[in-house]
Amino acid sequence: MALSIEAEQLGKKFGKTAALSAATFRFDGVGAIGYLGPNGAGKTTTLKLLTRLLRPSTGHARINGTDVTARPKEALWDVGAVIESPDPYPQQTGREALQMVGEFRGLSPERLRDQIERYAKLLELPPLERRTGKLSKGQRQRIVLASALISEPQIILLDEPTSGLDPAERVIIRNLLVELKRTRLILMSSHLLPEVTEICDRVIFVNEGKIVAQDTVAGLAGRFKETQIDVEFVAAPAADRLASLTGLASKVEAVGPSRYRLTFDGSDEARTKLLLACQQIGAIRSFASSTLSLEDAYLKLMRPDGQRPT
Amino acid sequence: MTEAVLGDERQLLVAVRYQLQSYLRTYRFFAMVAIVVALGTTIFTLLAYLTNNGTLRIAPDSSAFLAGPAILGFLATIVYFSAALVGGDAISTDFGARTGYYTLVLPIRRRVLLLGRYIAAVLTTFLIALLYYIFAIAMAIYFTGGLPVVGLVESMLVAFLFSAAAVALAFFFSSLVKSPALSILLTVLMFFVILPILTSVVAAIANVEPWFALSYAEASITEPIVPLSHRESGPFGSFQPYLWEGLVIMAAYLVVSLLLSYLIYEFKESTG
Repeated sequence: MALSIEAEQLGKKFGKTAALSAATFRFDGVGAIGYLGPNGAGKTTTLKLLTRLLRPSTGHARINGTDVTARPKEALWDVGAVIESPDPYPQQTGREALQMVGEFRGLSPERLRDQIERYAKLLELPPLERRTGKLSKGQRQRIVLASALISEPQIILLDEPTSGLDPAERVIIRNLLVELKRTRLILMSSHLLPEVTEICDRVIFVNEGKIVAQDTVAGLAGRFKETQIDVEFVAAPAADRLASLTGLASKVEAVGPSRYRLTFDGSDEARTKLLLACQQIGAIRSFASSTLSLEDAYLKLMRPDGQRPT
Repeated sequence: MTEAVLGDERQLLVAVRYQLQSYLRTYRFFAMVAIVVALGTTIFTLLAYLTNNGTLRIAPDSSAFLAGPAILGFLATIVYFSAALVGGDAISTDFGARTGYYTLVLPIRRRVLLLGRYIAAVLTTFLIALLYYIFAIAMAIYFTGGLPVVGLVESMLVAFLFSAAAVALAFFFSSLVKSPALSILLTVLMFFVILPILTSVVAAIANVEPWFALSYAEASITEPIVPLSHRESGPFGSFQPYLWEGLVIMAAYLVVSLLLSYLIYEFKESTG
């Protein structure tokens, strides 16, 4: 079956406020898509529309070609979703919470037992005989993630899947997602850009309810490409000596007492000239170049001034 | 995923089973059991004390004894309490707490989830009612030496329908607000304050039969044990429902409340 997640002119209004406006995207096949934007941008609203937790004011949400609002059971049959921070029934044990979901999804008792054991190991689940109401947030989050994956759905929708988890728990989930995206289609919202860079192949940026960009991670970062060099001198050079750099770099900014960031066009020729010019200015302690990351693309798109917050 | 889409009927059975398991583990259920045990034991002890010291003489008529206000007359109150505690937040919990994010993203129709939860809530409420019946039966045998078996079974069936109606009404109130605590409070107020006052006012002051109130139908629970004509007076002036009338009121509450609950649940959104 061809996998697809599709939003067509998808919109949601709460009163007069548009939480999402005419969002349109379509992803087919396998891979992971990061859904990025500031708080209140419309990320969770989109995921809720894709899982029928909300009904759209305009447009359509489709999973594998099936309209989620018109035929939710059929559309969501092959979807595992974790939206917001769900709580299983607090009186249920972890095992019962997983069994309930597995039975709803038609897993045989044998397969269900095997799957629970598999995910207990993969996600290092807490003792499954403990009631979910007694678990920590991170433990509950892993039970919920296991319940979303237990039937091996081909489409996975995750809303900030690692929020509230400790670093070790994040690593477990990140590694699992990297593994899963080889055979599934994953759409995940996140605030953690390094995590998105590591897991996702493609990204959508949403801001104020509107999609402002969508591309591959590399493509989007490249769109805002500027190359920078951080150079550190052994001793702070005199200001007039730095003048020789201005013709080679588009921007020279001090980032420390003897440390400067040079922005240039990224060509090898310019880089060589800059190195030679710096050597003329004074003894160099370090000379390192860096390409702008997804984080920089995010800031360029989301902040009017494109600057990092201080 | 290789599993074929599971039918609604099988998903309903799963929903009932897990919901019932969940209800039977709540502190509220244990509290209701404790209340019923305490109530039954207190009445039993008090009657035994009063009859032993000669203050009270109980006639050897098990039907009249059971239908009396001190025995099965308490049953409706127990059902109301149980229905409010079990069903009062049945729907609001999906939108005011975070359990909805666990269940509503699953490939299950909401009507199946609702019906499963409703059946489990009715069974739980009726279980509490049955516990009180056990005390009533024990008292009837102890104090009168007899038991109107047929009438008692019929009374239990009416009590089951009454439980189903009360739970449906509780479900309706739980669909109206988002906060689980508020919806339980609203249900309790409706059962114990608003409906009884409305019924009394209409019956006693306006002299109109309160056929629209579930609390009016509660007298039908003891009707199979002591038929209407055997009663000296009804709870609200001269008005007392015939058995068929009580059954119709209960059925109407069940159908209308459940239907409204379903419509609200189906279109309600997880905005929190």
